[in-house]
Amino acid sequence: MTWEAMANIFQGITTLTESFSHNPRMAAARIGLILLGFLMIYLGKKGYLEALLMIPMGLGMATVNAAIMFFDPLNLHGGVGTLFVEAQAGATADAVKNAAEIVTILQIDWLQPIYTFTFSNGLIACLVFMGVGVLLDVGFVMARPFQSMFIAVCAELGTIVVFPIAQWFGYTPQQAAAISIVGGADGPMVLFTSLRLAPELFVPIAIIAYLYLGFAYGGYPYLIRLLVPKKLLGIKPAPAKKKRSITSGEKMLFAVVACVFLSFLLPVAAPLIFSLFFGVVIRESGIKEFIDLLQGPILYGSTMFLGLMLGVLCDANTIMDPKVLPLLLLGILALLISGIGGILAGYVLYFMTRGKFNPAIGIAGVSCVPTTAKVAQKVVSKVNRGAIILPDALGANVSGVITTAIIAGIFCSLLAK
Amino acid sequence: MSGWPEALLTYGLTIVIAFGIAGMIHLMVVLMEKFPPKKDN
Repeated sequence: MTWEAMANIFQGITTLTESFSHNPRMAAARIGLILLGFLMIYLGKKGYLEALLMIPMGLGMATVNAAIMFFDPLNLHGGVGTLFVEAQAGATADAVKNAAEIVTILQIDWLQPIYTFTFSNGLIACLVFMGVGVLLDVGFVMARPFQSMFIAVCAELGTIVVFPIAQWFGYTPQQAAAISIVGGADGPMVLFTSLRLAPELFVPIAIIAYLYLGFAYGGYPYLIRLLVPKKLLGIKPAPAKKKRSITSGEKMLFAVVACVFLSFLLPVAAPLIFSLFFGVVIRESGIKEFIDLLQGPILYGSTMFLGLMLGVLCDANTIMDPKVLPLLLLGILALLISGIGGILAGYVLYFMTRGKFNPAIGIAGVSCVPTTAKVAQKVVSKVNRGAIILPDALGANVSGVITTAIIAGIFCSLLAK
Repeated sequence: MSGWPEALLTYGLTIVIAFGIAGMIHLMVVLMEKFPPKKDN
Protein backbone atom coordinates (compact mmCIF):
# COMPACT_ATOMS: atom_id res chain seq x y z
CA MET A 1 0.00 0.00 0.00
CA THR A 2 1.38 3.39 -0.97
CA TRP A 3 1.86 6.26 1.42
CA GLU A 4 -0.75 8.26 -0.54
CA ALA A 5 -3.34 5.51 -0.03
CA MET A 6 -2.63 5.45 3.72
CA ALA A 7 -2.88 9.23 3.87
CA ASN A 8 -6.20 9.03 2.07
CA ILE A 9 -7.61 6.54 4.57
CA PHE A 10 -6.59 8.48 7.69
CA GLN A 11 -7.63 11.92 6.47
CA GLY A 12 -8.00 13.41 9.95
CA ILE A 13 -4.29 12.85 10.58
CA THR A 14 -3.32 13.88 7.03
CA THR A 15 -5.22 17.19 7.15
CA LEU A 16 -3.62 17.94 10.52
CA THR A 17 -0.06 17.19 9.39
CA GLU A 18 -0.61 19.11 6.15
CA SER A 19 -1.93 22.10 8.02
CA PHE A 20 1.16 21.99 10.32
CA SER A 21 3.31 22.60 7.25
CA HIS A 22 1.03 25.10 5.49
CA ASN A 23 -0.75 26.87 8.36
CA PRO A 24 0.66 25.96 11.79
CA ARG A 25 -1.70 28.37 13.60
CA MET A 26 -4.72 26.53 12.22
CA ALA A 27 -3.26 23.16 13.23
CA ALA A 28 -2.56 24.46 16.73
CA ALA A 29 -6.13 25.82 16.89
CA ARG A 30 -7.51 22.40 15.93
CA ILE A 31 -5.56 20.68 18.69
CA GLY A 32 -6.44 23.44 21.15
CA LEU A 33 -10.15 23.09 20.37
CA ILE A 34 -10.03 19.30 20.74
CA LEU A 35 -8.44 19.77 24.18
CA LEU A 36 -10.94 22.51 25.07
CA GLY A 37 -13.75 20.10 24.15
CA PHE A 38 -12.32 17.49 26.55
CA LEU A 39 -12.00 20.15 29.26
CA MET A 40 -15.62 21.26 28.78
CA ILE A 41 -16.86 17.67 29.12
CA TYR A 42 -14.78 17.23 32.28
CA LEU A 43 -15.94 20.53 33.85
CA GLY A 44 -19.55 19.77 32.90
CA LYS A 45 -19.35 16.29 34.41
CA LYS A 46 -17.79 17.64 37.61
CA GLY A 47 -20.54 20.26 37.90
CA TYR A 48 -18.27 23.31 37.60
CA LEU A 49 -20.04 24.31 34.37
CA GLU A 50 -23.60 23.71 33.14
CA ALA A 51 -23.53 20.00 32.18
CA LEU A 52 -26.66 20.22 30.02
CA LEU A 53 -24.82 22.40 27.51
CA MET A 54 -21.16 21.72 28.12
CA ILE A 55 -21.18 17.94 27.60
CA PRO A 56 -22.81 17.89 24.12
CA MET A 57 -20.94 21.08 23.17
CA GLY A 58 -17.57 19.74 24.32
CA LEU A 59 -18.04 16.43 22.51
CA GLY A 60 -19.17 18.18 19.33
CA MET A 61 -16.23 20.60 19.45
CA ALA A 62 -13.62 17.89 20.05
CA THR A 63 -15.02 15.56 17.37
CA VAL A 64 -15.58 18.11 14.62
CA ASN A 65 -12.00 19.36 14.92
CA ALA A 66 -10.70 15.80 14.79
CA ALA A 67 -12.85 14.73 11.82
CA ILE A 68 -11.60 17.24 9.25
CA MET A 69 -11.12 15.61 5.84
CA PHE A 70 -10.51 16.54 2.21
CA PHE A 71 -14.08 17.60 1.49
CA ASP A 72 -15.34 21.04 0.51
CA PRO A 73 -18.23 20.77 -1.97
CA LEU A 74 -18.95 24.53 -1.91
CA ASN A 75 -15.27 25.55 -2.07
CA LEU A 76 -15.51 27.61 1.08
CA HIS A 77 -12.72 26.25 3.27
CA GLY A 78 -9.69 25.65 1.05
CA GLY A 79 -10.53 22.04 0.23
CA VAL A 80 -11.16 20.68 3.74
CA GLY A 81 -14.33 20.21 5.75
CA THR A 82 -16.47 17.74 7.69
CA LEU A 83 -19.66 15.77 7.15
CA PHE A 84 -21.38 17.44 10.12
CA VAL A 85 -22.79 20.82 9.08
CA GLU A 86 -22.06 23.74 6.72
CA ALA A 87 -23.16 26.97 8.37
CA GLN A 88 -22.14 29.07 5.36
CA ALA A 89 -24.34 27.20 2.86
CA GLY A 90 -26.66 29.74 1.26
CA ALA A 91 -24.88 32.76 2.72
CA THR A 92 -24.44 34.60 -0.58
CA ALA A 93 -26.83 37.22 -1.97
CA ASP A 94 -27.91 35.06 -4.94
CA ALA A 95 -31.19 33.39 -3.93
CA VAL A 96 -31.10 30.73 -6.66
CA LYS A 97 -27.51 29.79 -5.87
CA ASN A 98 -28.39 29.71 -2.17
CA ALA A 99 -31.26 27.27 -2.69
CA ALA A 100 -29.07 24.97 -4.79
CA GLU A 101 -26.27 25.05 -2.20
CA ILE A 102 -28.62 24.31 0.68
CA VAL A 103 -30.26 21.37 -1.10
CA THR A 104 -26.83 19.93 -1.96
CA ILE A 105 -25.58 20.23 1.61
CA LEU A 106 -28.85 18.93 3.08
CA GLN A 107 -28.19 15.69 1.26
CA ILE A 108 -24.62 15.38 2.54
CA ASP A 109 -24.20 16.75 6.08
CA TRP A 110 -26.09 14.79 8.70
CA LEU A 111 -26.74 17.73 11.05
CA GLN A 112 -27.61 20.15 8.23
CA PRO A 113 -31.40 19.57 8.46
CA ILE A 114 -31.32 20.56 12.14
CA TYR A 115 -29.21 23.64 11.40
CA THR A 116 -31.22 24.77 8.36
CA PHE A 117 -34.68 24.07 9.75
CA THR A 118 -34.21 25.01 13.41
CA PHE A 119 -31.16 27.25 13.78
CA SER A 120 -31.12 29.59 10.83
CA ASN A 121 -34.76 30.58 11.38
CA GLY A 122 -34.55 30.92 15.18
CA LEU A 123 -36.91 27.98 15.85
CA ILE A 124 -34.51 26.36 18.33
CA ALA A 125 -34.39 29.59 20.38
CA CYS A 126 -38.20 29.65 20.50
CA LEU A 127 -38.39 25.97 21.52
CA VAL A 128 -35.89 26.55 24.34
CA PHE A 129 -37.92 29.59 25.41
CA MET A 130 -41.16 27.55 25.53
CA GLY A 131 -39.39 25.08 27.81
CA VAL A 132 -37.94 27.90 29.93
CA GLY A 133 -41.39 29.54 30.13
CA VAL A 134 -42.94 26.41 31.58
CA LEU A 135 -40.31 26.46 34.35
CA LEU A 136 -40.93 30.12 35.21
CA ASP A 137 -43.11 31.07 38.13
CA VAL A 138 -44.15 34.63 37.36
CA GLY A 139 -45.62 34.81 40.88
CA PHE A 140 -42.12 35.80 42.10
CA VAL A 141 -42.25 38.93 39.92
CA MET A 142 -45.88 39.63 40.77
CA ALA A 143 -45.06 39.60 44.49
CA ARG A 144 -42.42 42.35 44.05
CA PRO A 145 -42.70 43.85 40.55
CA PHE A 146 -40.85 47.17 41.02
CA GLN A 147 -37.95 45.68 42.97
CA SER A 148 -37.52 42.87 40.41
CA MET A 149 -37.69 45.19 37.41
CA PHE A 150 -35.27 47.66 39.01
CA ILE A 151 -32.65 44.94 39.49
CA ALA A 152 -33.24 43.59 35.97
CA VAL A 153 -32.89 47.01 34.36
CA CYS A 154 -29.59 47.64 36.20
CA ALA A 155 -28.34 44.20 35.19
CA GLU A 156 -28.65 45.22 31.53
CA LEU A 157 -25.85 47.73 31.99
CA GLY A 158 -23.36 45.48 30.21
CA THR A 159 -25.54 45.31 27.10
CA ILE A 160 -25.88 49.08 26.94
CA VAL A 161 -22.21 49.90 27.63
CA VAL A 162 -20.75 47.27 25.30
CA PHE A 163 -22.88 48.41 22.34
CA PRO A 164 -20.82 51.59 21.68
CA ILE A 165 -17.58 49.85 22.73
CA ALA A 166 -18.16 47.17 20.06
CA GLN A 167 -18.65 49.89 17.45
CA TRP A 168 -15.36 51.42 18.59
CA PHE A 169 -13.77 48.01 17.84
CA GLY A 170 -14.94 48.41 14.23
CA TYR A 171 -18.15 46.39 14.22
CA THR A 172 -21.24 47.75 12.48
CA PRO A 173 -24.13 48.92 14.72
CA GLN A 174 -26.03 45.70 13.86
CA GLN A 175 -23.05 43.50 14.74
CA ALA A 176 -22.40 45.56 17.89
CA ALA A 177 -26.02 45.05 19.02
CA ALA A 178 -25.81 41.30 18.42
CA ILE A 179 -22.56 41.13 20.42
CA SER A 180 -23.71 43.36 23.27
CA ILE A 181 -26.91 41.37 23.87
CA VAL A 182 -24.58 38.71 25.36
CA GLY A 183 -24.70 41.00 28.43
CA GLY A 184 -28.32 39.94 28.91
CA ALA A 185 -26.98 36.40 29.45
CA ASP A 186 -29.98 34.92 27.72
CA GLY A 187 -28.89 32.32 25.16
CA PRO A 188 -32.05 32.16 23.01
CA MET A 189 -32.16 35.96 22.88
CA VAL A 190 -28.55 36.07 21.63
CA LEU A 191 -29.34 33.49 18.93
CA PHE A 192 -32.41 35.44 17.87
CA THR A 193 -30.76 38.87 17.78
CA SER A 194 -27.63 37.73 15.97
CA LEU A 195 -29.73 35.91 13.34
CA ARG A 196 -31.82 39.01 12.78
CA LEU A 197 -29.07 41.64 12.86
CA ALA A 198 -25.73 39.99 12.08
CA PRO A 199 -26.22 36.57 10.43
CA GLU A 200 -22.60 36.71 9.21
CA LEU A 201 -21.43 36.65 12.86
CA PHE A 202 -24.16 34.34 14.12
CA VAL A 203 -21.92 31.31 14.59
CA PRO A 204 -19.08 32.93 16.60
CA ILE A 205 -21.47 35.09 18.66
CA ALA A 206 -23.67 32.09 19.52
CA ILE A 207 -20.66 29.95 20.45
CA ILE A 208 -19.13 32.67 22.60
CA ALA A 209 -22.46 33.48 24.26
CA TYR A 210 -23.09 29.88 25.30
CA LEU A 211 -19.49 29.32 26.29
CA TYR A 212 -19.65 32.36 28.55
CA LEU A 213 -23.04 31.38 29.97
CA GLY A 214 -21.28 28.23 31.13
CA PHE A 215 -18.48 30.31 32.59
CA ALA A 216 -20.98 32.68 34.25
CA TYR A 217 -22.17 29.67 36.20
CA GLY A 218 -18.63 29.17 37.48
CA GLY A 219 -17.42 32.80 37.50
CA TYR A 220 -20.29 34.81 39.04
CA PRO A 221 -19.84 33.32 42.55
CA TYR A 222 -16.35 34.90 42.58
CA LEU A 223 -17.78 38.24 41.42
CA ILE A 224 -20.37 38.15 44.21
CA ARG A 225 -17.73 37.33 46.85
CA LEU A 226 -15.49 40.07 45.46
CA LEU A 227 -18.15 42.79 45.60
CA VAL A 228 -20.26 41.79 48.60
CA PRO A 229 -18.64 41.43 52.03
CA LYS A 230 -19.42 38.30 54.07
CA LYS A 231 -21.43 40.29 56.59
CA LEU A 232 -23.88 41.46 53.92
CA LEU A 233 -24.00 38.06 52.20
CA GLY A 234 -25.67 36.60 55.29
CA ILE A 235 -28.60 39.07 55.33
CA LYS A 236 -32.04 37.47 55.39
CA PRO A 237 -34.37 39.39 53.10
CA ALA A 238 -37.53 40.86 54.64
CA PRO A 239 -40.61 38.78 53.78
CA ALA A 240 -42.76 40.07 50.91
CA LYS A 241 -45.52 42.45 52.00
CA LYS A 242 -48.10 40.49 50.09
CA LYS A 243 -50.14 38.32 52.44
CA ARG A 244 -52.26 36.13 50.19
CA SER A 245 -50.74 33.88 47.59
CA ILE A 246 -51.08 34.74 43.91
CA THR A 247 -53.44 32.37 42.12
CA SER A 248 -52.63 30.60 38.88
CA GLY A 249 -55.47 32.55 37.23
CA GLU A 250 -53.76 35.84 38.12
CA LYS A 251 -50.42 34.57 36.82
CA MET A 252 -52.07 33.46 33.60
CA LEU A 253 -53.79 36.82 33.20
CA PHE A 254 -50.45 38.60 33.65
CA ALA A 255 -48.73 36.31 31.12
CA VAL A 256 -51.47 36.84 28.51
CA VAL A 257 -51.57 40.63 28.98
CA ALA A 258 -47.76 40.95 29.02
CA CYS A 259 -47.43 38.75 25.91
CA VAL A 260 -49.95 40.75 23.89
CA PHE A 261 -48.65 44.11 25.19
CA LEU A 262 -44.98 43.36 24.47
CA SER A 263 -45.75 41.81 21.07
CA PHE A 264 -47.78 44.91 20.25
CA LEU A 265 -44.86 47.15 21.24
CA LEU A 266 -42.09 45.06 19.69
CA PRO A 267 -43.43 42.87 16.86
CA VAL A 268 -39.87 42.01 15.76
CA ALA A 269 -39.31 40.08 18.98
CA ALA A 270 -42.86 38.65 19.05
CA PRO A 271 -41.81 35.02 18.25
CA LEU A 272 -39.56 34.94 21.32
CA ILE A 273 -41.98 36.86 23.55
CA PHE A 274 -44.82 34.57 22.48
CA SER A 275 -42.77 31.41 23.06
CA LEU A 276 -41.79 32.49 26.58
CA PHE A 277 -45.29 33.46 27.67
CA PHE A 278 -46.81 30.45 25.90
CA GLY A 279 -44.72 28.31 28.26
CA VAL A 280 -45.90 30.38 31.25
CA VAL A 281 -49.56 30.10 30.20
CA ILE A 282 -49.26 26.33 29.72
CA ARG A 283 -47.69 26.04 33.19
CA GLU A 284 -50.49 28.01 34.81
CA SER A 285 -53.22 26.30 32.79
CA GLY A 286 -52.32 23.05 34.52
CA ILE A 287 -52.57 20.93 31.35
CA LYS A 288 -50.25 18.21 32.59
CA GLU A 289 -49.64 16.58 29.19
CA PHE A 290 -48.46 19.87 27.65
CA ILE A 291 -46.40 20.80 30.71
CA ASP A 292 -44.64 17.41 30.61
CA LEU A 293 -44.05 17.77 26.87
CA LEU A 294 -42.57 21.28 27.11
CA GLN A 295 -40.46 20.84 30.24
CA GLY A 296 -39.25 17.39 29.19
CA PRO A 297 -38.74 16.41 25.55
CA ILE A 298 -38.95 19.89 24.03
CA LEU A 299 -36.69 21.71 26.51
CA TYR A 300 -34.14 18.93 26.93
CA GLY A 301 -34.25 17.86 23.26
CA SER A 302 -33.67 21.40 22.02
CA THR A 303 -31.00 22.12 24.67
CA MET A 304 -29.15 18.93 23.72
CA PHE A 305 -29.19 19.74 20.00
CA LEU A 306 -28.31 23.36 20.76
CA GLY A 307 -25.21 22.30 22.69
CA LEU A 308 -24.26 19.69 20.10
CA MET A 309 -24.74 22.08 17.19
CA LEU A 310 -22.75 24.87 18.86
CA GLY A 311 -19.93 22.43 19.54
CA VAL A 312 -19.95 21.20 15.95
CA LEU A 313 -19.94 24.77 14.62
CA CYS A 314 -16.84 25.45 16.71
CA ASP A 315 -14.26 24.41 14.12
CA ALA A 316 -10.82 25.97 13.85
CA ASN A 317 -11.77 27.95 10.71
CA THR A 318 -14.51 29.81 12.57
CA ILE A 319 -12.53 30.40 15.75
CA MET A 320 -9.42 31.63 13.90
CA ASP A 321 -11.41 34.32 12.07
CA PRO A 322 -9.78 37.66 13.08
CA LYS A 323 -13.23 39.06 13.87
CA VAL A 324 -13.72 36.47 16.61
CA LEU A 325 -10.95 37.48 19.01
CA PRO A 326 -12.50 40.86 19.99
CA LEU A 327 -15.80 39.02 20.46
CA LEU A 328 -14.19 36.96 23.24
CA LEU A 329 -13.27 40.17 25.05
CA LEU A 330 -16.55 42.01 24.40
CA GLY A 331 -18.67 39.03 25.49
CA ILE A 332 -16.97 38.69 28.84
CA LEU A 333 -16.97 42.48 29.32
CA ALA A 334 -20.74 42.60 28.72
CA LEU A 335 -21.40 39.83 31.24
CA LEU A 336 -19.02 41.38 33.79
CA ILE A 337 -20.59 44.86 33.57
CA SER A 338 -24.11 43.37 33.73
CA GLY A 339 -23.16 41.40 36.84
CA ILE A 340 -21.69 44.52 38.46
CA GLY A 341 -24.82 46.50 37.47
CA GLY A 342 -27.05 43.90 39.12
CA ILE A 343 -25.04 43.92 42.34
CA LEU A 344 -25.07 47.75 42.36
CA ALA A 345 -28.88 47.55 42.17
CA GLY A 346 -28.69 45.17 45.13
CA TYR A 347 -26.70 47.79 47.06
CA VAL A 348 -29.21 50.54 46.19
CA LEU A 349 -32.02 48.34 47.57
CA TYR A 350 -29.84 47.48 50.60
CA PHE A 351 -29.56 51.18 51.47
CA MET A 352 -33.21 51.93 50.62
CA THR A 353 -34.42 49.15 52.94
CA ARG A 354 -31.90 50.17 55.64
CA GLY A 355 -29.92 46.97 55.53
CA LYS A 356 -32.74 44.48 55.04
CA PHE A 357 -31.92 43.54 51.44
CA ASN A 358 -29.15 41.13 50.49
CA PRO A 359 -27.09 42.78 47.69
CA ALA A 360 -26.12 39.35 46.28
CA ILE A 361 -29.69 39.05 44.93
CA GLY A 362 -28.68 41.65 42.33
CA ILE A 363 -26.69 39.13 40.31
CA ALA A 364 -29.96 37.31 39.54
CA GLY A 365 -31.04 40.29 37.43
CA VAL A 366 -28.70 38.85 34.80
CA SER A 367 -31.32 36.74 33.15
CA CYS A 368 -29.70 33.35 32.80
CA VAL A 369 -32.81 31.58 34.17
CA PRO A 370 -32.59 29.99 36.71
CA THR A 371 -28.79 29.70 36.88
CA THR A 372 -27.94 33.13 38.31
CA ALA A 373 -30.70 32.86 40.95
CA LYS A 374 -29.32 29.49 42.00
CA VAL A 375 -25.76 30.85 41.99
CA ALA A 376 -26.82 33.72 44.31
CA GLN A 377 -28.61 31.32 46.69
CA LYS A 378 -25.63 28.95 46.72
CA VAL A 379 -23.16 31.71 47.62
CA VAL A 380 -25.48 33.12 50.32
CA SER A 381 -26.21 29.67 51.78
CA LYS A 382 -22.48 29.10 52.34
CA VAL A 383 -22.46 32.13 54.67
CA ASN A 384 -25.90 31.79 56.28
CA ARG A 385 -27.93 28.64 55.76
CA GLY A 386 -31.07 30.36 57.01
CA ALA A 387 -31.00 33.17 54.43
CA ILE A 388 -33.48 32.17 51.74
CA ILE A 389 -33.10 34.65 48.90
CA LEU A 390 -34.37 32.42 46.10
CA PRO A 391 -37.88 33.98 45.80
CA ASP A 392 -36.42 37.52 45.45
CA ALA A 393 -33.70 36.22 43.13
CA LEU A 394 -36.17 34.40 40.89
CA GLY A 395 -38.30 37.55 40.68
CA ALA A 396 -35.26 39.47 39.40
CA ASN A 397 -34.36 36.55 37.14
CA VAL A 398 -37.75 36.40 35.42
CA SER A 399 -37.74 40.20 35.06
CA GLY A 400 -34.29 39.91 33.50
CA VAL A 401 -35.74 37.72 30.75
CA ILE A 402 -38.41 40.35 30.10
CA THR A 403 -35.94 43.28 30.00
CA THR A 404 -33.59 41.35 27.69
CA ALA A 405 -36.53 40.64 25.37
CA ILE A 406 -37.37 44.35 25.41
CA ILE A 407 -33.78 45.34 24.54
CA ALA A 408 -33.57 42.67 21.81
CA GLY A 409 -36.83 43.95 20.35
CA ILE A 410 -35.68 47.58 20.42
CA PHE A 411 -32.31 46.72 18.87
CA CYS A 412 -33.96 44.65 16.13
CA SER A 413 -36.47 47.41 15.35
CA LEU A 414 -34.00 50.29 15.62
CA LEU A 415 -31.17 48.72 13.64
CA ALA A 416 -32.93 46.46 11.12
CA LYS A 417 -31.11 46.59 7.77
CA MET B 1 -17.06 56.63 20.26
CA SER B 2 -20.29 56.34 18.26
CA GLY B 3 -23.34 54.41 19.35
CA TRP B 4 -24.03 56.15 22.66
CA PRO B 5 -27.23 57.93 21.46
CA GLU B 6 -28.75 54.62 20.30
CA ALA B 7 -27.56 52.89 23.49
CA LEU B 8 -29.09 55.55 25.73
CA LEU B 9 -32.31 55.60 23.71
CA THR B 10 -32.56 51.80 24.04
CA TYR B 11 -31.89 51.97 27.77
CA GLY B 12 -34.40 54.77 28.30
CA LEU B 13 -37.12 52.91 26.39
CA THR B 14 -36.30 49.69 28.26
CA ILE B 15 -36.65 51.46 31.62
CA VAL B 16 -40.00 52.99 30.60
CA ILE B 17 -41.42 49.71 29.27
CA ALA B 18 -40.06 47.60 32.18
CA PHE B 19 -41.50 49.92 34.83
CA GLY B 20 -44.71 50.16 32.77
CA ILE B 21 -45.03 46.38 33.06
CA ALA B 22 -44.21 46.56 36.79
CA GLY B 23 -46.95 49.18 37.21
CA MET B 24 -49.37 47.02 35.24
CA ILE B 25 -48.62 44.02 37.49
CA HIS B 26 -49.02 46.15 40.60
CA LEU B 27 -52.36 47.49 39.37
CA MET B 28 -53.52 43.99 38.46
CA VAL B 29 -52.64 42.62 41.91
CA VAL B 30 -54.28 45.58 43.71
CA LEU B 31 -57.48 45.22 41.64
CA MET B 32 -57.56 41.47 42.25
CA GLU B 33 -57.26 42.11 45.98
CA LYS B 34 -60.02 44.72 45.99
CA PHE B 35 -62.37 42.79 43.77
CA PRO B 36 -61.65 39.10 44.33
CA PRO B 37 -63.45 36.76 41.90
CA LYS B 38 -66.62 35.30 43.45
CA LYS B 39 -66.45 31.61 44.23
CA ASP B 40 -69.34 29.46 43.00
CA ASN B 41 -71.06 27.30 45.63
